[in-house]
Amino acid sequence: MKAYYDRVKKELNFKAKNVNEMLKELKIMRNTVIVVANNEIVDEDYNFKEKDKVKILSVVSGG
Amino acid sequence: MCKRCKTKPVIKLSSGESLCKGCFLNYFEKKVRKTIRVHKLIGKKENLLVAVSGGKDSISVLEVLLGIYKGNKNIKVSALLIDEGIKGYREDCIKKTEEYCKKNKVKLNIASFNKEFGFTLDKIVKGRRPCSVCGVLRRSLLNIKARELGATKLVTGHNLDDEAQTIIMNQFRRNMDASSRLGPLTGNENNNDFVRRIKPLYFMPEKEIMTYAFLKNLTHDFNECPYNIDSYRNQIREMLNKFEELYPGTKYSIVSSFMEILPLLKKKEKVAKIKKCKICFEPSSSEICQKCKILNEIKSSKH
Repeated sequence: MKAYYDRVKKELNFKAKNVNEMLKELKIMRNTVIVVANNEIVDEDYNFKEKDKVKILSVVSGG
Repeated sequence: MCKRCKTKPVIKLSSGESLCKGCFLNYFEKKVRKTIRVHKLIGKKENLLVAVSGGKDSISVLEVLLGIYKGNKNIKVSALLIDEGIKGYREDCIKKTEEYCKKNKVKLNIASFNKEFGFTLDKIVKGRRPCSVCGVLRRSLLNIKARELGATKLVTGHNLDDEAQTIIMNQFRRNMDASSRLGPLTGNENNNDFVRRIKPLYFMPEKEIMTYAFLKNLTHDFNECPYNIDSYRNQIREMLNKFEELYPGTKYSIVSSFMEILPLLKKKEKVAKIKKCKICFEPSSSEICQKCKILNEIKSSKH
């Protein structure tokens, strides 16, 4: 699957089945992002569905 | 599942509790109200001026305050934006803030470095530390404008992450004097030259603010200041995020334990009397304030 990560402004590929595993796989700390699937926020235990549009949004202030 | 109403969760708090959209929004606003109440941030009659940047923190604090004080004629809420003159960054922030304020009928005041000091940040940044220069000039301008606008309190969007980082930075640099001026309410009620500052989001982690902003449709595309190269703060942020990942609640522990010693630090600070800058007569801890030192240095470098 693919997830768009706004901080690096690109799509990242991942194999994980849920949010928690995806963040581990992509080496992104949980407390630095929120994850959105199909424009809805999902929590760490959310299991991805095949056609989900996944976005990882940075929570760090931009300065 | 949401621990409170057993529906689909949107966040797992650092306490381990999962909450759905409705329960999270209630939790968030309740927590901000508690900070305001416990730390006596807002009185019965106030003219609040919210320092806005267009980012998630300042727009979220404005949104919460508008919700809490809706219909309360004794609490006025307006906004102030400082345009430092950062091409390709600030224009977008101004546009977003103007849109929000127009939609929510909030009076927006804009002050700029160019108008007040005669230069943009872009023009003077070469060879200087942008975050230090910008921070000093912005803080000074916020105070001057807040006083001119008759604000009783200046509201900022500082959050738990910001404060935990600053506390640790001051500790690592042995700068307890700077730490004594931290806390959710700063300034002195007997000093009319300095408009007191309040931080209603003091105990809110960035992740919770971002979640609130997203659920309230207040977020926009990620936009980073091109001068965000304060490597020391970035390193501290990275370190604290790693600790938070391993030991959830670390940032809260740093800030809440700091709050326990803050009264002692403030007592010590009382010894150092607040002076007035000899050049601009603004409140200062030394004979000449930091803003005037920077402005003098910029002026002399032109010759």
